[in-house]
Amino acid sequence: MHDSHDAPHGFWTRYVFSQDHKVIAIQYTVTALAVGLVGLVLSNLMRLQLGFPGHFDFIDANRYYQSLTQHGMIMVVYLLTAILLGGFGNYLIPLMIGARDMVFPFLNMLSYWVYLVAVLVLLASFVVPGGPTGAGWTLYPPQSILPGTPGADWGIILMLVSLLIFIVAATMGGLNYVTTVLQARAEGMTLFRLPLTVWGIFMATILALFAFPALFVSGVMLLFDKVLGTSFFMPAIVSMGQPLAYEGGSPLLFQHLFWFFGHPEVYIVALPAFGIVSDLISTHARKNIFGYRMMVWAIVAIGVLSVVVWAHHMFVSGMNPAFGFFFAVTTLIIAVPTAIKVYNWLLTLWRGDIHLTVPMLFALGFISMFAIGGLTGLFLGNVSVDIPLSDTYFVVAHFHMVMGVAPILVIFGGIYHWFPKVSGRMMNDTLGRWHFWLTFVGAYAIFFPMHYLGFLGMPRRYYAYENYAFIPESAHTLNAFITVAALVVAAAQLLFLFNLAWSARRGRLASANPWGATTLEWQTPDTPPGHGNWGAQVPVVHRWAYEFSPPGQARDFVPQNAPPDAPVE
Amino acid sequence: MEASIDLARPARPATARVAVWLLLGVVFVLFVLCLLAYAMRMRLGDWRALPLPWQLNVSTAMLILSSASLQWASVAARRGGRCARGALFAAFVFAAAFLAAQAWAWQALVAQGRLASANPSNGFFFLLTGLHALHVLGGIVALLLAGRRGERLGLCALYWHGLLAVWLLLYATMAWLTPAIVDFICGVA
Ligand code: HEM
Ligand SMILES: [Cu+2]
Repeated sequence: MHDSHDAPHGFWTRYVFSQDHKVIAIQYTVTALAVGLVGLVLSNLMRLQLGFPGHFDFIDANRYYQSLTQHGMIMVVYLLTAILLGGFGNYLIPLMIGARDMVFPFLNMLSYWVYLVAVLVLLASFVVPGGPTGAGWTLYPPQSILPGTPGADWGIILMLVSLLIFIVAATMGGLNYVTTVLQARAEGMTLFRLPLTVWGIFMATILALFAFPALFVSGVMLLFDKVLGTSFFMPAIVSMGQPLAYEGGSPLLFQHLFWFFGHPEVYIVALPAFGIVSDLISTHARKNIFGYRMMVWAIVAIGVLSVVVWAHHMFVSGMNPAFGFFFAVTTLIIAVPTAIKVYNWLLTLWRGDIHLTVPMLFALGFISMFAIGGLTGLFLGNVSVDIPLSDTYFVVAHFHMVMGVAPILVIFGGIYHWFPKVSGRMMNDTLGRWHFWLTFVGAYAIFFPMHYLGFLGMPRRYYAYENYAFIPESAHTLNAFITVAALVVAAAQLLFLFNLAWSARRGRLASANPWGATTLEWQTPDTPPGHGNWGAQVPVVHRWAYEFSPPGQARDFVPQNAPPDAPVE
Repeated sequence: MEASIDLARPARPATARVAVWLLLGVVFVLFVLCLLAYAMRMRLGDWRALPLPWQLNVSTAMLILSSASLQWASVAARRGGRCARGALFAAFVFAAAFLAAQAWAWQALVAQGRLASANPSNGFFFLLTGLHALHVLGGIVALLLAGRRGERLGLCALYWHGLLAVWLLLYATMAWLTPAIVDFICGVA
């Protein structure tokens, strides 16, 4: 299919229907950021209602639930998953392993276009009659397809169809990424010389390949229930005085299938973030990563365990106590490799030559956000504590810090870090610092107080809280404060978008390796790398990715492809 | 720089083989999850076993023949034999016949008024056969694109055998799995 031996020439094949992994990565990233912006605006709509109830008539209860659902779904699937695997994975895998491209460039291109279709179908649900579905991002039946839930006619159908299309796209991409890592590594690039970024993305992709089918199955079956009137999940139900034709199905069955996807999904997002942050820290602290092999095994262990833990979400649905105990234990066990990673990051930083660059700030922000949010998670992993706090704002705070904001911080850090390679220009440093501090402090201001609201018993997924005697006045003040912080954080993202657009054309020209990094993507002959990445000769790898500050060398790093006997400069 | 050299080289056969195995793994997980849902749903009170349409025997035979022809075609093509074309053609015909037989089975059920909504067992029948047929259809498209190169035909044959295995699993489950067996497996007997 890919017959020509030259780089493509026309505008269309070069920038639009390109099979070059770097172009596809940019397409994925830009699309994901655009749809993520929609998710952000939706979260602000919710916050306006929660902080200042009754002041904004256009946010009625239905709009609230629609915003909630679409916000959750967009953030988790269409932004985080897509940008980490499709964006970062696409750009970095071939460059970091020393390949000229993905092994199936055509399939790679197809993956992006199918993803775009999924996004468009999702956005279309905002304009169909009844609007998008408002069933909560978990789309639990029966209510997700019953009248009374917003978007129960068209919205839910488009949502499900969009998810199915997304899964097809993710599978096309995923097969490509995994095969590329397995088969296209440069000479000398053994698995234990791979940068942790590649390890994280690799493992996350394997998880995605085998977890998304669960979402696919539950989605198709729910679609059957909705469109064909089957009763896979639907029990006998009287809706609005009318008995419906459903009978005998089990909503619990959906929950099992959904969380068989949902739990690994947490790590599909987390593992690439772990990998990227390891490389950012090591590079910007000029120190080798502490315990590289341990880090790799931790990534593998988390991947395996995360499949096992899926049913810990079933505590509340009342399961066999023996199982409950089993899952509680595995949840705690998964904390072990995760904690190892946090320690290793800290030990990497310890006595490092820390350069507080913008990428480094975001990486440090991630560690802080992740560690603190993770600690509160230990409360939730424990069966006995889980019951009173589940379904309160404690949970909302916990998962936002751990799997919402933390990965986002890594994504920002990654963009600031790799932008010079992608565009050949540096991003503006001052704007970057403002962006970091506003986002970081703002995110704490939003989510930290929510733990407290959770202890007060404030339930999640409520449109209005005015008439609950147990919620004190101070909680309403706190909610107003959180909303203001959320608006500030949202506005701060404009700095980032401006910085991206401005720096791409006007930014200071970057050298080939401005951070002094060791990994292969910084050693390309051209910046940005040309078609085929490496010019005439693909690199040969001689060492691991973390040769920083070696004794007796003039430079404080040795690239992975520098020949062993190279004269000391 | 005229140096794109090995860039445009199509993926090595070994590479493509890894990808096909991976794909089969994903497909397998997809269908096993369906069957897991099938088994869980079957234990609920309203389940009535679906008498499977006899056309499934025809379709099973067609899929086996298609798989065998494709295997033959790939071996013959690798040896440079002349019968590769005929075998490839046969693989197409049998695959199409498989899909036709599945459609026939659907039509028979619909004619009896056993629509997807009649009982969850009917729903699963349409779901499982439908998803599987889509995978076969995708395989046919891939086969059309593959041309007559031996190693590519070998990959298609591998995929075909995988889909055959999945189909046999689906058929066996629909034919023989009963709520009593599920209870037994779950230890609730
Ligand atoms: C500044 C950024 C954000 C703000 C202000 C925000 C705000 C909110 C609010 C107010 C809710 C609804 C709580 C409720 O009524 O129960 C919510 C739910 C949610 N958010 Fe965020 N969020 C932000 C970022 C993110 C990110 C980055 C993610 C990515 C994982 C995310 C994922 C979710 C999910 C999964 C839900 C649950 C939806 C549901 O219950 O169906 N959010 N968020
Ligand atoms: Cu979980």
